[in-house]
This record gives sequence, C-alpha cells and structure tokens, in this order.
Amino acid sequence: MKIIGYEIRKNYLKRYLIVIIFAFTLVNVISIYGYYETSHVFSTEKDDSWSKAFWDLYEENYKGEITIEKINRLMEIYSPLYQACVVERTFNTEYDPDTFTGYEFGDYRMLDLGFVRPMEYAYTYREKALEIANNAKQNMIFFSSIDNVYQYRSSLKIASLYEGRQINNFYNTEMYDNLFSYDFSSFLILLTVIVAIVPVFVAEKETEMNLILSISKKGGKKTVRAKIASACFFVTGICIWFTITDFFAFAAFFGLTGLTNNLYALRDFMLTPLDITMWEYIIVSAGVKILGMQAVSAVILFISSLFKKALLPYVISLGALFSMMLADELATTKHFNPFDLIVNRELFRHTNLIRIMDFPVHEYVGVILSVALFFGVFILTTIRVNKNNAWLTGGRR
Amino acid sequence: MREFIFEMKKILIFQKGLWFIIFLMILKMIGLLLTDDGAALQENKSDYLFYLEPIKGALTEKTQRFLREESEKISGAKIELENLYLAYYNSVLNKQAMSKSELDYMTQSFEGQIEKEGGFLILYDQYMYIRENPDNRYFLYTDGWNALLAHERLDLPLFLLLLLLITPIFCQEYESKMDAILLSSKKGRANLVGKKILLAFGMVVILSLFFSFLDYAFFSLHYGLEDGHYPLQSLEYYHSSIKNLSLLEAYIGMSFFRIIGHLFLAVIIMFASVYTKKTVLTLFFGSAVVLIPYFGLAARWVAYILPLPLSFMIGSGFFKGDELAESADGMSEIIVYRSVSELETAIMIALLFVISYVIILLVFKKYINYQIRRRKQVNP
Repeated sequence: MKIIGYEIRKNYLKRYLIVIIFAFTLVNVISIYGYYETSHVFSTEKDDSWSKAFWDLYEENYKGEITIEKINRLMEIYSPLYQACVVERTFNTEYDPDTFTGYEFGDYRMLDLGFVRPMEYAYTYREKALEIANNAKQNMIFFSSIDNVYQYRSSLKIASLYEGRQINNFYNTEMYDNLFSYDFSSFLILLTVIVAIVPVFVAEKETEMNLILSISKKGGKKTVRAKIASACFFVTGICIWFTITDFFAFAAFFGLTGLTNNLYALRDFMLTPLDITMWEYIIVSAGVKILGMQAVSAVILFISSLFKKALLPYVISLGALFSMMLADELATTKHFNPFDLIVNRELFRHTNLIRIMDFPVHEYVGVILSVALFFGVFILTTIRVNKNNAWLTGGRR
Repeated sequence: MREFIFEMKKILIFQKGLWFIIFLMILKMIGLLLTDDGAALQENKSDYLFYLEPIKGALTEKTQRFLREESEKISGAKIELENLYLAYYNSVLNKQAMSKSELDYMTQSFEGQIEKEGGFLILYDQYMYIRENPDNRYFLYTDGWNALLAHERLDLPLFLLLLLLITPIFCQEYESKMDAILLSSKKGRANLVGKKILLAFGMVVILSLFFSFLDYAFFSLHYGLEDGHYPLQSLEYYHSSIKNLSLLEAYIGMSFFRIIGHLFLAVIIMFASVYTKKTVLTLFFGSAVVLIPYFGLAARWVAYILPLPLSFMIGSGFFKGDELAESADGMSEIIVYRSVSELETAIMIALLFVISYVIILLVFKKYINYQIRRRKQVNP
C-alpha cells in the first residue's frame, strides 16, 4: 500500500499536472458557458422578457406535481393563443404590455416550448409505457404458445420494465438534456490522462531508474502493480473531479431543478432501460464512464510500458483515442470499445436486449462486461510484459 | 549546408522520421477510405449524370427548357404507362387480343424513362438550389468537390505526423543532454537553432502541400474533380459565401491556409520544447492547443478570429458565408456561423506572423542563454 502512495506522489503530484488540471477545469467551465450560450432556450439570467416570463410562471405556477387544476389553468391561457397564432394566424405583431413576453406570438412560443409540450409528454407517457407493456404481454402469450423460451423471457422483461411507468411531476429539463449530451469534459480527462500516464513507465527508463528498480526487492512485479493501481486511483479521482465540475457548472448556468425527476422524463430517454431518477443517473453514468476511462488508461499504460521514450507512446495513445472514436462512429457493435462507456448515453437511451444462453440481458450489461474484460486483458498483459525482476530471478530475465 | 544534411539525416533516418511519414501516409489513405461515407447520389449516379451532362454550367434559358421538357417527358411517360396497362387489362377482361409481349414492347421505352426519375429528381433539387441565385451557382457533379471542400475536418494524420517530427528537433537534444555539448561548439548556438527552425519549416511546407495533394488525388480518383473553374457557391455548403472564387481556387487557398496553420503549429511546438525541455509536455502543449478548440468550441466560427493554428489547419471556414437560424422564441435570428471577412483574414495572418516572429526570437534567446545560466550554477 505504501508503494502505491509513493507512486502517486511521484507521478501525479507534479506541479505541471496540477496546473493542467486547474487550467482544464477553467476551460471546461468556459466551454460549458459557451455551450449554454449557444443552446439554451430559456436563459437563467432572466435578461429578456421571454426567459423571465418563463421562469416566473415556472416557479410560481407549474413546477412540481402535475395536477388537473394546473393543466386547466395552462390551457386557459394557451388555447386562445394557439387559436390566434397557429389556426387563424391573426395574432397581433405589435408590442403589447399585457402579455408575458411582450408579444402575442412570443407568449405562444414560450408556453408551447416551455410548458405545453413537456407537460403533454409527461402526461401521455403513462399511456405509452402501458401500451408497450401490454404489447409485450401479448407477445408473452404468443411466444409461450409456440414454445419460444427466449422471446417469452425478453417480452416478460420488457413488460415488467415498462409496466407502471409514469411521470407525475413537471420540471424544466434543459439542464439534464444538455448535461447528458455534453462530452467535452471527457475529452479533457483523456488529454490529462495521457499526459499523466505516459511517463509512468517511460520516466523510469528515461532516467535509467529501471535498472536500479529491477534489482530491488519490490522493484519488479510489485512496482508494476503499484503503478497500475496508482493510475487507477488517479483516473478515478480526475473523473470524479470533472463530473462534479460539470454538474455544478451546468446547474449554475442552466438552473438546477428537478433532481428527483425520473430519467424517462427526458424525451431523449423515453425508452431507457433504467428506472432511476436524474441524480441517480448522473452517478450511474459517471461510474460507467470511469470504467471506460480505466480501460483507455490501461491501453495507454500498456503502450507506454513498451517504449523507452515518451514521444511514440504519446502519439500512439492519441492515435488510439482517435481510432476508438472513429470505431465508435463506424462500428455496428458497441462491445469492447471503451468509448461507448465514456459517451454512454447511447447505451442507456434505448432498451436493447442481447441473448446470452437463452436469457435476455440488457445490452449495456454486455457492453460493460466486455469493456471490463478489455480492461483486464490490457492490465494483465502490462503486468506480464513488465514482470522481469533481476533480484527475484537471480539475474535471468 | 552540411549541417542541414546532418540534421535532416538525424530526423528522417536516426529518429525514424521517414518511417513515420510513410506510416501516417498509409494511415491517412485508410482513414480517407473509412470515413468517406460514399457518394450522396450513389444509387442514381448514372441516371443523374445522364441528365447533367447536357446542361453542365450556368443556368440558361436552354437549361430550363431542357428540364421542363424532361419533366414533362417523365410525367407523360407515367400517364402513357398507366393508360397502356389499363388498355391491357381491359383487353384481357374483354378477351380481346393484346399479348403480354406486345404490352412489354410498348411499355419498354416509357419504363426506361421512369427508371431515370430518381436521377432526374436529384438534378431537379439542384436546379431549385441554383435558381435562387443563378449568377454564381452552376450545374456540376458535386460529390467529389463536396468531399474535398465541404467540411471542417482536421487532418489528424498530418497533425500526429507533425507532432512526431517537430517535437524531437529540440527535445531530443535536451533528453540526450546533447544541448550542453552543442552549445559549446562553434556552430551549435544561433546558427544551429536557425537551421533547425528552417528545416522544420521546410518539412512542414512540403508535408502540408503533399497531404493536400493526397486529398485532391484521392477524391479526384474516387469521384472525379471536374469543372474546377465553376464558382464555389455551386456547392450548397458555401451557399451564402461572399467570396468570389472558383472551386479550384478555393482549394488552393485552403491548402495555402493549411500551410500557414501547420507552420504556426510547428512554431508553437518548438516554443514548448525549448521552454519545457520535456517531450511529454511539448506533445501535450502541441496537442492541447489544437484539439481543445477543435472539440470544445460550441461556436466553431470563434476559432477563426482567435490567433490559433486550428482555424488555418482546417481552412474551409474562411470561405464560408453567414449562417443564420431562428432563435427559440421565433422572433429573431441567431448567428450559427459568422463569415470571416477578407480584412479579418489578413489581420489574422499578420497576427500569426507577428506572434511567430516573437516566439522564434524567444526560442533563440532561451536556447542560447541556457549555457550562461548553467555556468553560473557551476561557478557561483
């Protein structure tokens, strides 16, 4: 355990690394702000009447549980606007101080985008989920009649997954929509991981420390293991740090609301296999991402352990990252690519089942297991490649 | 001159630069094959080209007449065909003689006409686009030019290659502790730094040109890059461009910008290597300066007004026009892409040159001062 502490101190508590992490955190926050500027619908600064009107109505009237009373109240103001702006197109284009946003059409757009559509989605979700569950139940009857065990089991799984799903609360989901589609911080983590991990093995060789290490008692296998373990700790730590930064930055810019809302309250996650809330998903997604990052860093460790100088392992690692990204885009299968865990929303957006020995298993379980295997293989290979210890083998390799 | 050859030999042979160049060239070709998502009009290409051939070029009265006539021919053929089938089934019902072979013979020419409809519709879409502004939009086969010009992709293999070739120019000396010996030699000071920098620039220019040529050659062979003298706006990607350039001129301009971008990247890499003296940090600096804005800028056009190598390494954005979209409230328009004016481009180029000049001076200063400081350390 002590040796891991030394490795961490030697490799990761460097001044330049701390500067890089600090600078990247800043870049990340600026980038999130840029992202917010280009993609927000309702600004949280409430600097225009359109956003102010939305947030005022949201906070005072419609946030929280969806009730018939709230819906009626909303429809009372929305219906005439809809009639004027969409059906008859007779809306007034002049400034009107009696409206929420200053213009009749602005009111219509604000209510339509901010309240009516999301509430309609939330309200009708129960029916949609029930329909899926009922279809799955019918399939169960059919497949049991023709003795197709696997299809019966998958229908059963789908039926139990979707039965009883409903969205009772209305919350503004802009923050989550954007947070869950934000990948740039993962890229920053990857760049940091490369610059931190490439020297882990290379530095010993560059300073010719490897010769001394190989004749010391704990210099072989134990050091290699300590290096790997310390890399794992570092990757985990930095992932957690950026997850926290992402969360707080998005919350600050887009406005934090509805942490306990269901994940499927996001239209993008309508068919998610996960029956969890927003904050739970943030944790699950971060956990899965950490595993993906560990797998990537295992590849980098393995590459760097093969070389004597930093130049090639760095560039090859960068090249490997780009090829994984490319494979993620081009390949039809998600398995074995750590990038699918790093950019993991695609994994959780749809309920896909895979067949393992006649049992239906969620696709994400398969992908996670396959990447874990990928990670294990690279770690073991790194240990095998670097295990020579002259002290233990009596000078033989 | 001899030192040049020695340096070149060191980089290309001893540091395996030649192998890197060959390997990354192969990688680039593989990348082009993999990422090229195929022609937009693969399915109907031959039919499309059949209609395009007679009307290539500017939109004229004659073209419009041709399109109208062809459109009438196709719709006429559809009606004729329907009538023929009706007549055939009637004759079958009434037990009159109209054999199947007779029907086939009669429908043959009409069916041939209708089969080409897919290709014609693509051309017609193009016509709708060209009609909006017939002065600078011409009819041409766009697959090749789109693949070559209409994207904002970074040439990653070239980027990696430059990292591999430029980083060791100084870092290698520091890491093998050669710098101390070199500094004490007759030509090992300013002379050597100057030659190293010139050599790096030479390599960058040649490689950048060569990689641009590779792109051109690949798409030329793959799709064909004809009619390069047609205006740039013929491609929908540049629909709002205000640059008065032909397709080929735009590509030449883009290649020129890429040379500037890659030269600036080389300057930054050399700066980082002399100041950090560590390969890892130099590589990190070189890659971060390009990749962070590449992946991190939500509004890509901002890169074109920042003094960074990225925008020049991509190049295409300098030729693009404004792009607007409706804002969320439906009341106003927001800028998705803001075009870069010629003045701004000139200012950016001038700025890069000034920054590069300062950086190169700093590189000289740092490299040469180095020995003095060390001597001080030894004899305080």
